[in-house]
Amino acid sequence: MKLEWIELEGFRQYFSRQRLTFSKDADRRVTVIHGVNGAGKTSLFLALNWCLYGRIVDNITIIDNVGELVSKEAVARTPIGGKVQASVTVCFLHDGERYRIRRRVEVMKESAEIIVPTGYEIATMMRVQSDGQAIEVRNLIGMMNSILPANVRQYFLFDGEKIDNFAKPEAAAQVKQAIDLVLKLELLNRARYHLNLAATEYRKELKQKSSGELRKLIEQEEQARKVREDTQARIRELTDEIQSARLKIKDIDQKLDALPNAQALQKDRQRIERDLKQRGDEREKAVQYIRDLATTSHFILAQSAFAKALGVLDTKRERGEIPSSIRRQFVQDLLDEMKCICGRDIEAGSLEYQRLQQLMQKSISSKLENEVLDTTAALRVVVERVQPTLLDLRETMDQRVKLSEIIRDLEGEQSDVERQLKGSPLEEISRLEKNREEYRDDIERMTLEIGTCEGEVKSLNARIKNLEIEREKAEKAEARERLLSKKMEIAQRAADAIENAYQAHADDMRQRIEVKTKEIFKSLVWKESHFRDIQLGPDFNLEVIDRYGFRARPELSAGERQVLSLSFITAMSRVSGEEAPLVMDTPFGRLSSQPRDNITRYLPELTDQLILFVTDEELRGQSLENLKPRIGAEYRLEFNPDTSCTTIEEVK
Amino acid sequence: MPQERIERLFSEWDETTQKVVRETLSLEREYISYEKPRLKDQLDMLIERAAKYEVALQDREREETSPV
Repeated sequence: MKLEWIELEGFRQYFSRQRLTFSKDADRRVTVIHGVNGAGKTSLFLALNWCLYGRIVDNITIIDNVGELVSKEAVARTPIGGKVQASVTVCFLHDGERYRIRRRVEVMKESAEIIVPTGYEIATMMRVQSDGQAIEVRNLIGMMNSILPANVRQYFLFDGEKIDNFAKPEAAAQVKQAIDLVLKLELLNRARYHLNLAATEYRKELKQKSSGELRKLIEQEEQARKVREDTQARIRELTDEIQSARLKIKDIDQKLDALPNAQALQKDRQRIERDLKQRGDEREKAVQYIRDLATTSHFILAQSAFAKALGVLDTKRERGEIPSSIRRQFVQDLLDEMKCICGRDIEAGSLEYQRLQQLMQKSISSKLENEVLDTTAALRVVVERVQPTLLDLRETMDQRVKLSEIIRDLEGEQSDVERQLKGSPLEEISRLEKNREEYRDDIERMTLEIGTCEGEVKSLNARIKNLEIEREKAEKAEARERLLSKKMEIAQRAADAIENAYQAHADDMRQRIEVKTKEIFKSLVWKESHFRDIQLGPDFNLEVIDRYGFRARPELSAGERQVLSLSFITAMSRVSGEEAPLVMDTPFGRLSSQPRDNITRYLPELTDQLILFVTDEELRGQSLENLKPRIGAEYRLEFNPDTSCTTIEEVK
Repeated sequence: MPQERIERLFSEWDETTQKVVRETLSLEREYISYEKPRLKDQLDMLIERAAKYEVALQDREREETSPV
């Protein structure tokens, strides 16, 4: 991040629009803003912070009351009930792109002394493209977090007089937090924490869901398919055997037909078999017809209820109640017109009027009447169908009984023929018939078995279909489990990767900062020979070791603590490689000339952009001379005591 | 620059881990100024994306190596 310019309007003592352009020149990277006490240095510093981060960012309060931001001069010039605005715009470069943030707040003047905010502060962030087109950045906080997070800001934009905190003995936690934030260790820490949390939750979920159900279902399905295959093979085998038995019977029949003593009986048998087949077919048809009637004529069961309902309706019709002899609409019309059917007028409350009222109560609505008539007609159709259907059913059942009797008789005849053939004195006929009987018994047995097998196949088909549905469900569940398991594995792997990298990276960063802090401290402090070493231990205590090997931090002067803190901050900035400006408000207030001269000599080398808010007393003599070759922009804040307003004047 | 340095810390890890770490860090960076950011859903989304990719990769490898 490199600041380009800031523009203020109606902001504290900056009543009129003021703009200040920062130096971005690599050689002349310093911008100095001079101002006497109260001229507006701190207001300008506040304007920069407020514009970039707002009033409160994640519990860091930048300004308590936005009313304080509005120019008093602007308020004074506004009539009571009028509105006043304060606005700040900051333009900066980051990663080769130009950004512009404008933040404003509006207040209403309730009385001469009271102003109240009319709403929240409004901030807009634009990304300016190379063609000059500006696109609004929707997530300002997210974007600023990726450029210079609010909680890291304090290490780059700070009040020089308050930065000695890092050098205080109790500052280990602050030092650690600063390193965590600036060196992105906090990022790693949070990522590790959240990934571990995610992995734990996935594990928990997986434990609840995992069942092994799919494996069981696949086994069951495989088994059912195997049984079905075996059964189907058995059916094929039996069918072949039946076919073969039939051929044998045919063969025997041919032999019997050729034997004169068996010919007559064979002819009888053939006739009986033909008849048996025909009667069998007829009986089968009758059975089927009965079955169909049974399934489609359930209304027969409600016959008595239908007849009773029809009786009730017919009785009402016979009595003239349905259709009603009194038309409701007709009576209603007479009542509406207050006219008798003969044309005479009717008076309310008269006998005629009362009679019409009574008729009205007796009448029923035409809609209900129509419904009743329709129902009667429908019931009549159903009742009329009952008798023929019942008759039909009885006839068919009788026919079936008759056919069964005929078949029984034919079977008796058939047995008789077989007995005669079997008992034939001619051995060949007897033997052939016995063989024939055996084959026929086999066919019967096998046909029965086929029936059983087909039943089994049918039930197996249903079972396999159910298992397929269950398996598909289980497959979906297992796919989810598999994905969950993979998610757990990946989250854990990523958390472990960060865990492994974190400590080594943290130690490496700490050691680099230690070395860099030492290097910078030595160049900035004036008693460099007195201080031998700077240590930043694993406990994050920033320690100064004097020439005698003693810890010198408790004895450091306020100025030396400031130098140590500044060294630490700039060391962090250098080690992190973060491209951010160093903006310091009154940086040299506590420093005597020697350290001030050193800082002004070396500090510009430690950052890409240095912005200093100084009083004339802070920066003069050798210090100013040291800085001069690096100053690219210089301004003076001119405070006008007559208007209490400040203007920004460029120092040529 | 610091971003690249952090990413280099994971260069030894497999591609998916690197991607998940990179995306998680990017997400964390966006919410770094929040004390307790709610990242559960976004984190789940990026992990699921990576998991689906790996599962699909495994399935493809299995198909390629399984006998026809």
